This record gives sequence, structure tokens and C-alpha cells, in this order.
Amino acid sequence: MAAEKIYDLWASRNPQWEKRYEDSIIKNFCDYGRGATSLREDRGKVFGGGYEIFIVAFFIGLYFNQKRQLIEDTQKRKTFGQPIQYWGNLDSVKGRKAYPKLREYIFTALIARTDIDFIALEKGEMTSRKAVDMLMQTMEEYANWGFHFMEDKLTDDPNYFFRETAFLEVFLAFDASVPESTDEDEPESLD
Amino acid sequence: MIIKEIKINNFRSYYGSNHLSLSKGLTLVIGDNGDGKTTLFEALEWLFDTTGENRKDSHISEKRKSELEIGEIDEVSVNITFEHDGEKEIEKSFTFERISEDNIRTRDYKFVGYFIDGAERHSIAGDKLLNMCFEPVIRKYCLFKGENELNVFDNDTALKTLVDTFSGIRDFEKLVELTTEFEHKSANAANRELQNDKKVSNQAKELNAQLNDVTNDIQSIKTELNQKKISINEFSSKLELLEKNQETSERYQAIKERIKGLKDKRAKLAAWSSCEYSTNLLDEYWILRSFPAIIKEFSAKVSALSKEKRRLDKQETERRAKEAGEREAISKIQKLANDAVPLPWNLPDEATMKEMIDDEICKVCGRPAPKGSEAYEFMCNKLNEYLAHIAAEANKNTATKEDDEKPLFPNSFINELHSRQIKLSGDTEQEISKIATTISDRLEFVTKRKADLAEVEKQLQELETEQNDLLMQSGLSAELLDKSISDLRGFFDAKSRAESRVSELETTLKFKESARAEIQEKLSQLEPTSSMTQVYQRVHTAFERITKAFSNAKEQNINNFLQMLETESNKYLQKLNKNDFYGIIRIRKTINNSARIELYSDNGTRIENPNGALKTTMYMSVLFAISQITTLKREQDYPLIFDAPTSSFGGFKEDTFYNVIDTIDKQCVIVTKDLLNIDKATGQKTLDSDTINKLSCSVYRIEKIEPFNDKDLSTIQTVVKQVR
Amino acid sequence: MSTYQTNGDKILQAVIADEQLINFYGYNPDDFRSISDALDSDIAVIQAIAQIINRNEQKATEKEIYNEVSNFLKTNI
Repeated sequence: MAAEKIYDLWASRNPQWEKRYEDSIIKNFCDYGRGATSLREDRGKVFGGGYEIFIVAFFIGLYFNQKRQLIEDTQKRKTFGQPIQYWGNLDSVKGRKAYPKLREYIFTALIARTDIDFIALEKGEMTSRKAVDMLMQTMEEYANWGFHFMEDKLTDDPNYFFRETAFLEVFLAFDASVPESTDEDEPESLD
Repeated sequence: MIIKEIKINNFRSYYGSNHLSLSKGLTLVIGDNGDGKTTLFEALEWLFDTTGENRKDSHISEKRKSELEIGEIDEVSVNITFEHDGEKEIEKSFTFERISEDNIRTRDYKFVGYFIDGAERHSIAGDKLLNMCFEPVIRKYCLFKGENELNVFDNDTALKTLVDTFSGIRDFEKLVELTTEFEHKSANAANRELQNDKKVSNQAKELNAQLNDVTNDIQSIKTELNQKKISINEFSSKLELLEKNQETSERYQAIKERIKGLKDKRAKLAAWSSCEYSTNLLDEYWILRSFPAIIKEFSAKVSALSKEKRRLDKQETERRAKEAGEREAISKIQKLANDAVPLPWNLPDEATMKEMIDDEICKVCGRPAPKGSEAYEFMCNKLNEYLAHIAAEANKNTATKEDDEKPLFPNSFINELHSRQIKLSGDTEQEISKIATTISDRLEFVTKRKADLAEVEKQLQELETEQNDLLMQSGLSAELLDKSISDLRGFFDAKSRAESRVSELETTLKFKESARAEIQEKLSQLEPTSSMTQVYQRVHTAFERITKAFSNAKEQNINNFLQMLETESNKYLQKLNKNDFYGIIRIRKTINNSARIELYSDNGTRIENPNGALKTTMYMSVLFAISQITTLKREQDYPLIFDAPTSSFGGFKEDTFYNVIDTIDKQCVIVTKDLLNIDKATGQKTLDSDTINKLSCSVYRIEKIEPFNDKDLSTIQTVVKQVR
Repeated sequence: MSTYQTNGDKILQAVIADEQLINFYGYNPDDFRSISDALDSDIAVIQAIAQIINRNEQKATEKEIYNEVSNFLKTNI
């Protein structure tokens, strides 16, 4: 029996988000709620599936390094129709390109930013389920902050993110420099 | 007909009453554009209009209109007095009354003529008098508004009209038609008789059949000939047009090429200047622009974890090795009485021991071992030891497995993460760190392309404007200018082909016609028995000859007329051009029963595009000639009134030109802006008095009086002043 | 004699001046200066031509003129 991978465990999950962002953000920028069969052009939204804006929100939170706890009341939360493992698989959409690797990078960021006792996990003292829960929490909280950020901007200027370059500009504002590494550059071999 | 005086009252810019006395020779009316030159003409046209009552608000002088109080009435009128078999007068007028601030009512339209009969002055309907003295067809060749009207042959019926009107013989056309019809009818009648006549009916029938066939052939040949000739005509004019416009066409084509090039460029730039800013965040991984730092965090963390894991693992491995070694070092030794070395544990075997225990006897030495005895106990212990040993061995195995295989780290998530880290490092990490540059390069690229696009759009617009201007200036259609050299060639070839076809057809036609003549001859030579039939034949022959005579006479008439026109025209041309080059006018009949005025140089070559002045004098000569011919035929003279034909008289000295016209025995009125000097800087207009003083004719000046406002018609008033 | 020449007279003169016609029928065109002269002529073709011109001026129909002239010719040519 092949050993289970933490990546796969995580990828089979589906992050939660606050319902209040459905109308104000998700439906405005995604074709969320309208089915996956019609072409994006026909529907006129910037992004396709709802998870796409979630990804954007996530990265905003990530780069700002700001998290925001999800609302307690689970009734006020929702999930998307597709678990993470399918995110970015876009073959049939005109004018778009699939981006399957992005999931892996998200995972990478979550590992870096979640305080899991991996040694305990490795020893079996923590369940993999618990570890993935923690990763999901990080993911949800970064995204939640990202949504909050977007909502804030839209309150100031309702047209803000409807400008062609608005989303890109948010990401251009972050520092893109590659830091000097303090540790050895080569990772140790597995031997 | 000699016009003595023209009176214009309240007609458009001619406020109040104005009059011009015309001389018997040339009267020059000088004015600038907008001073009232064309209005003078239009006043005369209005007077001469016999098509019906014509009183428009727009005919009334705005200035006069604006002065009227409510209830006040005034009159618009145009009047000429003239000599034409006695003194006569024609006037057209209507009254206008202001009935309210914004309303003018017109009525009392009058169009009346006067003539003197004996001592009395009689009045007559104006249109009647006009048609008697100055009928429409004559007027057509007397009034010329603008140079475009000077070419009298520019429409297809012109020649016929001219011939009918001026050649002195009318209605030839009709008679030729009639006689041709008679010829056919009589031919049919004669043939019918022949076919019925007993003696010759077979031959007659046969010959008639042949006649029919050849007549049909001739008909279709003539039709095709006509078509081909018309085509040749069309090709010729197209070629002429193309050649004339060669230069313009080339320019047009060049612009068109450039426009196409620019449009292609524009399409490319348009594609390059678009960018999917938002979806590229995902599709092109642009969202990972600031990710390198996070990769570093991840790598550091995972490296550390991996190291820690291995450290702990090593520690544990060492500890276990120690334990296992200790265990293996220990060996269990069995104790016996008299310290003898006991049998190994596996002797005797289980079955033997059990038998001995059951039989309660040691079967080795024979001593009984009853239950409870020392010997019995010893045997049981030995069996138990045997069993315990087996069990211990078994446990030892499993215990060893368990001890050996229970790892410190049952999971390999850290390994998974480590593999992931290794995968990330190297190329992948490098790629991601390039994303920032990729994005900025792309944005820069797009910005530049957008700028380029704007530039191209600007250039495109400029070119398109240039193209439109070219079209407008040349007055030609885009379609025509689009014709390239290959089209020119195409027309040329088509024309040549048509011409050779025409040649062929004409040869065939001649052949067929003589064949027909032969058949007809044979027919007429048939000697029918019946004398009646002979009569029919003779009648037909007579009609044939009569028809030919009429037809020839008609052609002769036209030719005579054209010849006469040509001769007279050349006389005038010579006079008008005096010592300058003038060439020779030829008037050629064209295919569609019209004529063309052409100019040839002395050595016989045609001058294709005579310059402005030459062209104008060419046409004017023809007009003078026509007028002269009219005089001869009608024994009546008619004035020629030209509206500004001299705008292209660049190369002529005005005094020479006008003096020549003055000497021509013909009443002429020329309305022009010649001899008016306009100061470019101040816009002031003054008469060229020096030249005017050299003139022999009478001269009038018409001008708008100052001050006036071009936008307010009620300030406009033309004033007529005699200068000479 | 300079009598007034009507249009018809002029046409007549032009037509009978045709050489071929003169050759065929042998007449002197100067003998017939006017329609009325020609109508009185005993040369059938001259009279026929005059009739055609004259009747046309009088606005007779094509049928009428044809019948008259062809009948005339039948009996006189």
C-alpha cells in the first residue's frame, strides 16, 4: 500500500469561505453559480470558476501576510463545487490556459506558513487529518483577509476591480525581490 | 433679334430698379463672384422660362422685403426691350405684399409682350411673343451659364437638333424612315406576287428564302457591329479617361497601397496591444511574482525538518542497536545435579518425554517415576523446559521483529516535503523568480505597442483624408482610380479585339450585302408571266431608288451642315486667336449619331487636351459659327450671352480678345470677373482702367454695395453702373 | 427667280439631285424647284417623291402615304 501523501490529502479538500462575499465579490468577478458549460465570453466576467477569485484573495492575504478568522457560524460559510485537486484544469475554456501547478505552489506556501509540528506528525503522534485541517485553516484565513481587502477597496470605489489592470496592480505593489538565502543553497541529499 | 435694354427690379440682389443698355456689338459686364453676375443670368432665364407660372419667394429682393411695412406692396420684374422685326418688349412680373411680420404674399403674376403694329402698341401673351421671336431651341444656343455649357455637342440629340434647327432642312429623318418602310412593304408585295406566279414561283420562293436568310444575317451582323462600335467607343473614352488620369490614378494607388500596409500593421499591433491582465495572474502564473521569498521560507523550513528527522532517526537507531546487542549477548544455561552439563534442551524429544511421563517410568534407566516422586517432577520440568524453549524461540522472533520494525517515524511526510523542495529548487525556482521581469517586460511591450498603434491610427487617418481629397479634387470615382496598369492593358486589348472583330464583321457585311444585292437582282430579273407581278417589281425598284436618294440626301445634308459649321468655326477661331496658335477645328460625326468638336494642329495631329483658353475659344468659335449660320438661314440674328466663360483666359490679353469680339458682327454679352483687380491683402476691388480704356465695347460694372453682411441677405444689394 | 423656298422644296431639291436617280430616270433637277412643280411633273418618280414629302407635311399617316404612292407608281411607273 503506497504511503499517503499529505499533498493529496490536502488536495482532496475544499476550503470554506464566508457567504457574505458571494454577491459582493465572487459573483461579480466569476461565473460562479452559472454552471461550467457556457463560454466565459458569453458571461462577461473576468474569471471563470469561483475558486479563481478565491485563489486571488488567498495570495493577497499571503503576500500581505494577514489572516482573518472565519465567521464562527458554519451556516454562514460555503464551499466551492470542486476540491482543490481540480483547480486550474481548464482545457475546455476558450482563451484560457490550464495552470495545474498553481495548486502545488499554494500548498508550498501553506506548509511554509503553518505552524505544524511535523516531527510529531512524522512520529504519528498527530494525525494527518489534523495537519491538513491546520493547512486549510491557514488557507481559509489568508483568503478571508483577501476578500476583506477587496471588499474594502470596492466600498471606496465600486469600480475599482472592474478596471482592466486593477487586479494586476495589487500584485505589482508587492516586493518581488529574491532574498539572499542564509542557509546552504543546495538542499541536502536524501541519503 | 437685338436686345436693347434689360431692366431688373427687385429680383434677388437687384434691389430697386436697375438697367443695362446693351450695345449692338459686345457689352461687357464686370463683377466678382457673388456680386450678382450669375443672378443677372438667372433673371434672364426666369424671364425666358415659358414652362408655366413661376413666382417664388426666393426671387424677391431680401432687402426690399425687409423694408416693407405691413400692407406695403412692391413688384418683382424683369424686362427686355428688343428689335426683332420692329420694336418689341417682354416683361415678367409679380407683386409682393407684406401681410404680417413674417409673411409675404405674392400674386398678380404677369408675363406679357408688346409689339408695335403700325402706329399702335399691342400686347400679347409673353410666352407667345417669346416663342415667336426667340424660341427655345434658339435660346439654347444663345444663353450659356458657365463654361460647362459651352460644348454644344455634349449630349446625343444635339447634332440632330442642330441640324434640324440650323441646317435649313428639317425632318429628313422622318422621311428616310418612311421611305425605308415603303421599300420593305413594296418588296414584300412584289415577292408575294412572284411566289404566286406559276412560271417563276419555285425560283421566287427559293430566292426569297435565300433573301430572308441573308437579310437576317445582315441584320445580326449590323447589330453586332453596332454593339462592337459602341464598345470601342466606351473603351476609347475609358482609356482616354484613364490616360488623362494616369497620374492621379498612380497617386491613388500608391496611397491605397500604403493604407493597406498600415492596416495590416494596425491589425498586428492591435493583437499585440491587448493583454489579459487578470487571467494571466493565473494562466501565466503572474500571481507568483512575489513568491520567491515564500519558496525560500519553505525550503528553509523543510531543510530544517529533514535534518531534524534524520538526526532523531540516527539517535534512535543507535539506541536500538545497543539494546538488541545486549539481548543477543545473553545466553541461558541449564543447571544439573553433580554439575554435569545437561542435555541440550531438545533431547529427549517431546513425544518421548510425554510417553515416559504418561507411563510414569524413565525408559532410559528403567527406574519407575510415579506421580509425585522426584523423578516424575524432574521429567515434567524437562518437558516444560522443552516447551518453554520452543515458546521462547517463537516469542523471541516476534519480539525481535517488533522491536526491530517499530520505527521512530512511521510517516514519511517530511520526505514528501523534501522531495517537493528538491523539485522546486533549481529550474523551477529560477523560473518563478523570472516572473517579475516577464511581467514588466510584457507591460512595457504592450505600452509601446499601444503607442505605436496610436501613431499608426493617426497616419491612417491622414492617408485616408489625403485619399478623399484626391477623389474630390479629381472628381473621379474611386472605382476609376482603382484601375491599374493591368486594367489599362485590359481595356487596350479588349478594344483591339473589338476593332479586329469590327474589321471582320465589316468584310463579312460587305460580302453579305453584295450577296443580297445579287439575290435581289435575280429576283428582279425573274420574268413572271403575269404582268401584274412585273408591275409590283417595278414599283419596288422605284421605292428602292427613292429610299436611297432620300438617305443619301439626308447624309449629305448633315455633312454639308457640319462642313459649313467647321468652316465658319475656323474663321472665328482665327479671328479670336489672332496671332497666337490656334489650330484647326474639325467636327466629326460619331457612332451614335452625334458629333464631336476636335482640335488639330497644322500638321494634322490631334490636340488631345487643349488648354483652358484654347478650349474655350474653340467652343466659342463654334457657337459664333452656329449663330452666324442661324443668321443666314433665318435672316435673323440672335445675341450670344456668356456667363463668365473667360475664367480660363490666362494666356490672352483681355483687350485683344474683347476687341475682337466687339468687331464680330454679332451682339454679345459677356459677364465676367476679368479686368477686376482684387488686392489680396485688403480684398479691395478696383477696375483695371488702363485696359478698359483700350476697349471699344461698352462696359458695365456690377457690385454689392458696402457695407453688407454675407449672412444676412437683406443687406445685399447689387448696383449696376455704366463705366463705358 | 428667288421665290421663297419651303422646307419641303429644299428637301425635294436635295433628293432629286441624287446622281443615281438622275441616271436611272434621266431628268433635269433644275426643272423642278418646288414641290408644286414636282407634283405636276409627268416623270413618275419625281411626282412620287413630291407626294411623299407633301403628304408627310400634311401629316398623313404612313399607311395613307404608302397606299397613295404605291398605287400611283403601279399605274405610272
